[in-house]
Amino acid sequence: MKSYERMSPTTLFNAIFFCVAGVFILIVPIPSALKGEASLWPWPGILSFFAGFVALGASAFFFGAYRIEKRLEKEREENEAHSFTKK
Amino acid sequence: MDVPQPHKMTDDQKAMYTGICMSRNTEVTLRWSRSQMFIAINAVGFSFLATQIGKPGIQPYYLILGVAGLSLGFFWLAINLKTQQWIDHWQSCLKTVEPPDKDLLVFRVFSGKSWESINSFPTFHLLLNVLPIAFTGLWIVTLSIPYYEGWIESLSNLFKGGAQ
Repeated sequence: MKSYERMSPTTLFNAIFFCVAGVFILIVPIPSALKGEASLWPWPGILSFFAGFVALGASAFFFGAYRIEKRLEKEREENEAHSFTKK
Repeated sequence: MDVPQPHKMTDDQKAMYTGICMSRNTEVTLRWSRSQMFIAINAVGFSFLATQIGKPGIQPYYLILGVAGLSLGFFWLAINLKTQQWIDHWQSCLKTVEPPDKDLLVFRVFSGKSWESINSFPTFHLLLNVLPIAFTGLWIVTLSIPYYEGWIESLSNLFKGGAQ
């Protein structure tokens, strides 16, 4: 039996959310730039690129955290099999 | 014939159990305090943006606040993740101190069937993640407003035309 909440699905959801957000933020200025309504360089495009990379970085962080979480869940299951009070 | 006796904690185990329980409770309290702080920061950002709507030169605010809000959302989610890892760690420690599942007639809090059912979907960690995800989504929308301003304007004109 588990004594912890399973966090890995939430962490995976966060990773996917930031991945989609990052791609969206990187794409969003392109239609306006093609129409000549907004500039991709230097302003405001640079800020959008920065935000896109922040989101993709966040996604990478949560993918890493997901893998660590999976390993931790396995380790906890093994640790809890060795209870102090077990006879 | 020997009757199996229910397991009893030693004094050391009781002290250890109480100490770990306090650490766990502190972490749970801190989780909510941190979330309240992040909600306040996000609310300030949106309030500031709301006061600037309609004023000339608002576009940089959309972008700057959008990037700041997105970064803050990431930070909030990362803090939630780390806090939950600590809570899980303390709960896992508490479970090892409690009597094993096979022992009958003993009191358990952090193990057993009832604990498992209360910790099933939707967990508090999941529910608490909805807040930063919602705020981050709103900041992403804010970030993209300058690029769709013409489109938003035509949409609002369409509604205005429909209302007349």
